[in-house]
Amino acid sequence: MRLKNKRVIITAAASGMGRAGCELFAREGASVVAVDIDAARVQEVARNVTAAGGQCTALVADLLDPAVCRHFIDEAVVRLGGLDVLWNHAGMPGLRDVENLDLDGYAKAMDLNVRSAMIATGTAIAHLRRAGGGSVVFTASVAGLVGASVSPVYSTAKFAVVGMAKSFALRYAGEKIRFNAVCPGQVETPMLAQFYDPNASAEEAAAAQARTLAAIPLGRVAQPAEIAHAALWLASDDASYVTGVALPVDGGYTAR
Amino acid sequence: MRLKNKLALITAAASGMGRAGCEVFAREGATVFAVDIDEARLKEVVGAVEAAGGKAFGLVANLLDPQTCRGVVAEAVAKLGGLDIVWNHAGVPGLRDVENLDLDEYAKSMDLNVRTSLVISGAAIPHLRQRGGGSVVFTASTAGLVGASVSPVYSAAKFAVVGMAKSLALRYATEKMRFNVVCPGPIETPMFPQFFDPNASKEAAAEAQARTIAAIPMARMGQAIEVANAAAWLASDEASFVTGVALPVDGGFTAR
Repeated sequence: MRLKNKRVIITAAASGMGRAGCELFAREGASVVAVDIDAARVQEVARNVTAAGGQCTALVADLLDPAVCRHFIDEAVVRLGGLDVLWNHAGMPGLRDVENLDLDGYAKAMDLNVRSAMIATGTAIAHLRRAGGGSVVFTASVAGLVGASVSPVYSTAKFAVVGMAKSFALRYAGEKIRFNAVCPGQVETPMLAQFYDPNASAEEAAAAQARTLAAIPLGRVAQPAEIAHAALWLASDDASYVTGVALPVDGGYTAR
Repeated sequence: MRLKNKLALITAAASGMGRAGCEVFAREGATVFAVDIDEARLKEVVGAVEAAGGKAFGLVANLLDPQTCRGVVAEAVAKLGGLDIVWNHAGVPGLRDVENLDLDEYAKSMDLNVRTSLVISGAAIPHLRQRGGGSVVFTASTAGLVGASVSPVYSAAKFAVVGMAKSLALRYATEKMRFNVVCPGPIETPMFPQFFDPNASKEAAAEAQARTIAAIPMARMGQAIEVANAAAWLASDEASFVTGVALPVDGGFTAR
């Protein structure tokens, strides 16, 4: 059990990679607070994990609200009795259009992808310090390592997340708090479809999807558990000398 | 057990990270074929793995000879009954001096750090293919990601290893063979002192070592097991969507 007795918070925990993370982390011995805006689904995740013998409770929060970002960490820490691991997984696809930039859509993408992680992490540090150290994992993206034609806004936000993780790593290394980012490529999740143009015809959508797959050396999209395994490794003491790293889980996409 | 029934070849297995690799791979269920030039210490490693309930074979070999490299793979396959994992860990510090480059020493450094890994990987590929895929791990260095003032030769060789791994990843991705690199920072091993000037005074040597540690955000050197854990993760099916990645295990050194 690689996270035995670790106290963990995971955001965007109700589906996809976050959900896989709750299941996996709990199986490895962690006590998990699963955070999501979708009350019904996050409660279902907590119930399923508990039914499988794990420790997991649901916490409903809208991370677009900065006050909530502070509060949900403190609330989770009260439940857990402390904090060892935070996985900042919450995020959203960015806008496609930049020529007529929708400033509200832009602000939302930056706030959820960047600001929520910054506030949550900043709030968590005091708790991690009290535990004598800890591990924070961010979910960035391959779009945080190389450009993303489909959404410059998303790429901008995810590069920011990588920069944030590396800078936190430098600042808190002396306090044994590690900060790393997982950089998923295409993952089979409910969110994946949102990256494609909603106005495209069925043929255009199929062609776009085929182009995407053709760019992945492994020739397939990832399963959510494959990203959760990377987050688990970074969160665990196995990665005790790993900090400030942006780890691609991308089927070879950024090896080019 | 994350490497249950896996057949693994590890080079430079008699000490430091390679030795830690033999121990952790075997503990995770792999049968290990351990290769080193140092017969006495290799025997000791195989004995230690067996004493802990693991399975290991040892083979003494000088990997500077390309024919030997091919022979090592053939022998490993014969003993193990196949091959799933190769950890190309063998390497040597490079020269410090570039103004009066010693061509023999240069060739030795490039041969052991680069050619050996390419010959072994090339020879291993048909065997991995026979098993329906596999995972190859290389040991590069942070000097394979950023320059190394102390030894441009070492850095050149390790950048080459990173390029090799990424290119092999692209070429063999569809055959379910993954190729990744661990990039250790300064690790407490028998090889580590060799990176420093042998002609330096005791004070100068201590000062150089202090400067090295001062450049590491975590303010300590890594332990061999911390690198072996990274190699084990990359070798395992948990990293099934990870290929062409150069993973720093460096206490935050390259986060700058």
